[in-house]
Amino acid sequence: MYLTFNNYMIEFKEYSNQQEMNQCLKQCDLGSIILGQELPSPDQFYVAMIQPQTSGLHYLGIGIYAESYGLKPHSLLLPQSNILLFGFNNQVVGININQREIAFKINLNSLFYYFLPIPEKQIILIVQELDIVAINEEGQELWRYGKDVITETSLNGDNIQLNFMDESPACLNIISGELVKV
Amino acid sequence: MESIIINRLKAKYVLKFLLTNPDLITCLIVLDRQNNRQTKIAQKLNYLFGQASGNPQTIIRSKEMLRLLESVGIFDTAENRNYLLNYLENIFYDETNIIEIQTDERVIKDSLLIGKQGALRMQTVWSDDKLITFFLKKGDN
Repeated sequence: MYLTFNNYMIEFKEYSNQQEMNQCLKQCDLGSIILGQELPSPDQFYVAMIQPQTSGLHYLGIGIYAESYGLKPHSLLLPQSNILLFGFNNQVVGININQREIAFKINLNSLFYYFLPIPEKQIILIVQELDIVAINEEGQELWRYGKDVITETSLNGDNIQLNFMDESPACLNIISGELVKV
Repeated sequence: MESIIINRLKAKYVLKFLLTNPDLITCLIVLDRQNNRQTKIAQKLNYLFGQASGNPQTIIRSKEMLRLLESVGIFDTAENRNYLLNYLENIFYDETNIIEIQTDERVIKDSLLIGKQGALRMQTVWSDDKLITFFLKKGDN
């Protein structure tokens, strides 16, 4: 199945080993970018095959090495800036599809869980196992907060409420990251 | 009235005794911290044994840790919880197993967890003396 992103189609694939993933990336005539190569013991291998919709059969491949911990990588499309975000393990990487290069990389202090985009404020919240990081669409970090395993997040207007496994809940202003008294 | 006076005298005596024995105060503080730490570790074992609740990722990760523990023969029993509590307490005191100190000052420790049917590599994340989370990997990685 394909996902449409601006003038591109994206197909996500999963491979059982590194060799299969590399074989797939070899077919990408527009080049390939491999993420997560520095991980010591990757056991998951994913490829996002990006295909321009308007000019023949051409492919840009994004390969991801990941360590599973039961989790899978996530992708978030940012059509305004032609950025495709990937979140996996302890990192978030933004790929500029038009320029076919890494636009930014954010190192996280704990395992990536999911994206929580807030388009009206042009903020993307990156929820992790222990922390939450706010970035803008250019990949600039605005704030980060964390103190224990995050069990729940809920948005409420300009604030985000965080529940933790062994700590009291916290309420943060989405824009400033400051603690808000509830 | 008489009992109040006796209790005050006892309290005064205890206070005087403690002030003249600072080592004992230190010992009591250490024991109190140890007790608090062990209580927190015991709570965190629910996460390790697949009993987390909340967002899907937390539940998936918790169940994956349980799967790995069971793959080496560590099932959720009172005996195994006690084994892990002691194991984690030993990890806390061992200062030779630190592999990383993060920018937020969390400390990551590396160890080998032995079960009846195999071993897992266990990384634990600590903030001061509080256990925050675990990473389990198959022993061959």
